[in-house]
Amino acid sequence: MTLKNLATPKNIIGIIAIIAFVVIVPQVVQGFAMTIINVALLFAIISYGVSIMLGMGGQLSFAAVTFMGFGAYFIANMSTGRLGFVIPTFLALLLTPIVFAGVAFLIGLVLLKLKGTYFTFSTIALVQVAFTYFNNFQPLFGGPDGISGIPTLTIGSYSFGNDLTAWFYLICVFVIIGGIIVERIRRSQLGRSLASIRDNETAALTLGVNTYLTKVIAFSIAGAFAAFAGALWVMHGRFVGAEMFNFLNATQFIIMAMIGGVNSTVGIVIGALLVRGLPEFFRGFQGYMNLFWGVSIILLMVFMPTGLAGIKDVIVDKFRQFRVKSRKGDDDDATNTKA
Amino acid sequence: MKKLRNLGALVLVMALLAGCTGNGGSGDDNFYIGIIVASGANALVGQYTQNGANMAADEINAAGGILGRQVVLVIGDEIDSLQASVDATNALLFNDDLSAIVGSMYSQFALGAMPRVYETGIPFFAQGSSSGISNEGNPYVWQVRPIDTFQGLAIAEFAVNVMGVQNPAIMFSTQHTFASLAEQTIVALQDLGVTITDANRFGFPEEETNYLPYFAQILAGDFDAIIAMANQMPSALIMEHAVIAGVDPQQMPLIGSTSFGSNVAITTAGASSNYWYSITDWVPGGHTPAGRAFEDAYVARFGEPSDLPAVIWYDAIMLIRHAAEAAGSTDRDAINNALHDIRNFPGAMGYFSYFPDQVFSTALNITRNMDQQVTLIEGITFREP
Amino acid sequence: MSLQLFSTLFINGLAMGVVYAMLAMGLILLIRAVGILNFAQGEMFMFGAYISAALILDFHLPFFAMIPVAMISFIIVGLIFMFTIYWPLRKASYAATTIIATMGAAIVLRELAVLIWGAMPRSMPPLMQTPEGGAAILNIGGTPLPWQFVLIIIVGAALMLLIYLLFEKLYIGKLMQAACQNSYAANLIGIPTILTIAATYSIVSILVSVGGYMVSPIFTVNNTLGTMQLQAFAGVVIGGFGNIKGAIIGSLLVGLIEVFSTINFSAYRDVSVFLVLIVVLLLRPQGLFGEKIADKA
Repeated sequence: MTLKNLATPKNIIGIIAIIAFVVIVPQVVQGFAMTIINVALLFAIISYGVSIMLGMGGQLSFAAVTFMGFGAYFIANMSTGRLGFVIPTFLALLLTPIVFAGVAFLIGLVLLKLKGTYFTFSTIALVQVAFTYFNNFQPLFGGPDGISGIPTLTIGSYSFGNDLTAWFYLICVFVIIGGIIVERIRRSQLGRSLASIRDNETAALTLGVNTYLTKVIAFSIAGAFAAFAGALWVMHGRFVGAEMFNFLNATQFIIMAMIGGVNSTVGIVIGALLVRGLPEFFRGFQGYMNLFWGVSIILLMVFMPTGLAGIKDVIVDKFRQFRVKSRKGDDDDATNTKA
Repeated sequence: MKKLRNLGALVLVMALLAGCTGNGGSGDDNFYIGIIVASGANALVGQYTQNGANMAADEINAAGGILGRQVVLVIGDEIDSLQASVDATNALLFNDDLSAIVGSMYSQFALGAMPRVYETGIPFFAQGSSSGISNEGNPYVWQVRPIDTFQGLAIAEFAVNVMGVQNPAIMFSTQHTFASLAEQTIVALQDLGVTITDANRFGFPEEETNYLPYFAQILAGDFDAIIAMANQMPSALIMEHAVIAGVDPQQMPLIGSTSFGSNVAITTAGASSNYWYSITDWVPGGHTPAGRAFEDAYVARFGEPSDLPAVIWYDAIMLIRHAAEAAGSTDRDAINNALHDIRNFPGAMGYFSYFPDQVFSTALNITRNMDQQVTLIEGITFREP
Repeated sequence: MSLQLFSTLFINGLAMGVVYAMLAMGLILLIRAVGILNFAQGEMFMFGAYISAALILDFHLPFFAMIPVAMISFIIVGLIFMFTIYWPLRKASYAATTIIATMGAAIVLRELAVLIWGAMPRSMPPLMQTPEGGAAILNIGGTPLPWQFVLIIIVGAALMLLIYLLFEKLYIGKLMQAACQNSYAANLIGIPTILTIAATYSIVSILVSVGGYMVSPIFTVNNTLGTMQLQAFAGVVIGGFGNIKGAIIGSLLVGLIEVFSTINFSAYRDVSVFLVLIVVLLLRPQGLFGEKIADKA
């Protein structure tokens, strides 16, 4: 991504859209909706990891929720002094992605010896094992009552407290940084290696791609994203309990990425906002919320299999049925969304 | 094109979210109480909650409302997950109309919402029974149920002093509520001189469906009683499986937590529920006149016996009414302060009084299931109201 | 451990294993036929239990009238599932799309069950009853075994054997498998894929729903029955992906591990199953009985 192709009209519109989002949202939204948006944006960071694993590398992993848990419990232990020492929250936050990139690398070394669906199953196993420990192992995870009394994020002398708007700006910064990282990876050697694995792992091997190491690196980047977001999440909500990290919750990050468009960075953010925002619409239908949610997932998958980012492909396809003359150009993102 | 489309989607999402914000104080003459109701996997709890809360509201409104204002319940659906529960509670916490909130029955869910309760400063009834809630020392958080410290003590005292138990097998769901109750019970048992080792503990995952292996082991050991703690559905299965496994209630007293005496568990387990003792927060009909009156009204309205969630939501709303009327105000702080003055309030569950632990409850029931009916043996007052 | 305790636990674990095996076999049939991992398998199992409960408790059908009605209902559920979840998505470019759709279907089935039949768990009468209506116990050498567990093992094994023979030994089954694996060629020689896939979905629905019906007297009918699918997943992987025999043996293993790990390890029961799963995967990635073939996904 050089400066020259940064200045395309498309990107300029994109940057304006992002700035507009960051500026307008705090003006029109306060209170409750702000908590929804903040958590949605945190979840978008976790879904970035899904994008790297599933979108770029074609590997379906449920492990994100477990790494989110690792990040959250790490902060809870470091900042409350329950282990006998306290690390400043900001330092702990910065440590989280580094520590858990390492942890994810080690776990990845083990799990990614497996391929395809076997790998997916091993991540389900990881989620189950980790959940059981989160729920039962008191010394590190607080046991049944979880860990409360977690301090909020403090940078220097500035404390984010319960200022939801300040949190929003902070999270936006990380969402944007994360998005840039994802876009860089997509265009890097790593991204191309992952794409080659996704399209045909055997062919990638014969072309000299170290598929194993590539996947392990992707797994550890995804783990770092999830742990970092988990760390922010726990300082935002100031409570952590094991119920958050069970298998049911593991699926929602994949759903977010799929709904947004698993290879569209902006799409993932929108997907996360939609997944978190949709239930608020159904709040009136108390008792039926889960039913609507399930039906929406099916409908979205049936009618928008490539997510929101794929809407255009669907529309363009329909359009082309009338106008046989096909246009060239403007198709670069269409190629992104096809596996 | 792509970014333009994304911009459109963004605007759509923002409009969606903005649509669910507006709650800037409607300023009408109603008395608003937020209640959290479960659904999904916890739908059964949700139904009883809804019944109990509706009953309280209708009863109050028929009697002229609170301070002349009609009670309006604002419902938050917590479905069955931590995040959804915190979201639903936040939605209520940011609603300026509300004078008080009756929160989740699941302790961990309530704990998740409590930091924001503190900042908001609204009277909040956490309906779980974990002592972890009370230990937080949050000045706005109240509990009407006897917390697990009291329940554990009552279970241990009943087992040791009344039943003469010396070596019980303790079965418990490792879900937060019951793991915590099991710990409190074990501490109390040890205080009473009973040795509890790992061999006495039989923890099982909340989603466990097959309790026969546990009973097989218990029967193979030399235990003299079974103490079991679980939610309604697991407790029904535990009672059924105890019979299938051949546990003899004559030789081995069977003592359960609250759910074992619940209507749901007994209806589901049928004849297998017989002979179980239970230390319960609530037995249909209670042990006081107020409890009887509640039960009669409940049966008249819904045609079936009540269950715990119904009565705790009912009592919480009644306490809110009492505090608001004592304070003569709908103001949150005034109500919260008035809750400190509650003395000997006749709730359906028993007499309520203010204590520094912010737990109102003073009594528990010892019951036994006979002929597929729960019967009260005695109400025990664990502290003077 | 006494022999009596061991045999009680063993039969119990075996019965649970058979239940998981029924779920697992259904999973494999679907994976073979349409290449899709069905995350709603447990909920189909639950729905089968609810349908049988409705026929017995609400419509009071006698046993022999109930069986054909139940079978038809199971087939209908299977077909509805196929035409809503699989058919519209059969050409999706990501396998994950269909997987997510089945997750959505799981939620819908769970909620529908509560909507239709209420949140109250429903008790089912056991197949073999004592004169007082309780569950009959089979006593072998002082070891009490609930009859229902014995029946689960018998019925489950018989049903699985039948389906195994159908798919592996009979011409029609081979035809169906071939058609599923190469639908283009099958269409060329005049086998409509839609029929073979519909047949597979119907068979899977029957297999899984009968499993739900068989366990309902022991576990009651409630909307959390579906959680058993995770154990079936573990069984499938331990046994070897895409291999019916392996999946069955893997599931039996999972049932046994689970039951025996309740000894002094109960709070961490789930850990033992999944740790075994991870260890098996690392030592033998193709599963205990899998052939070394490349994974399609």
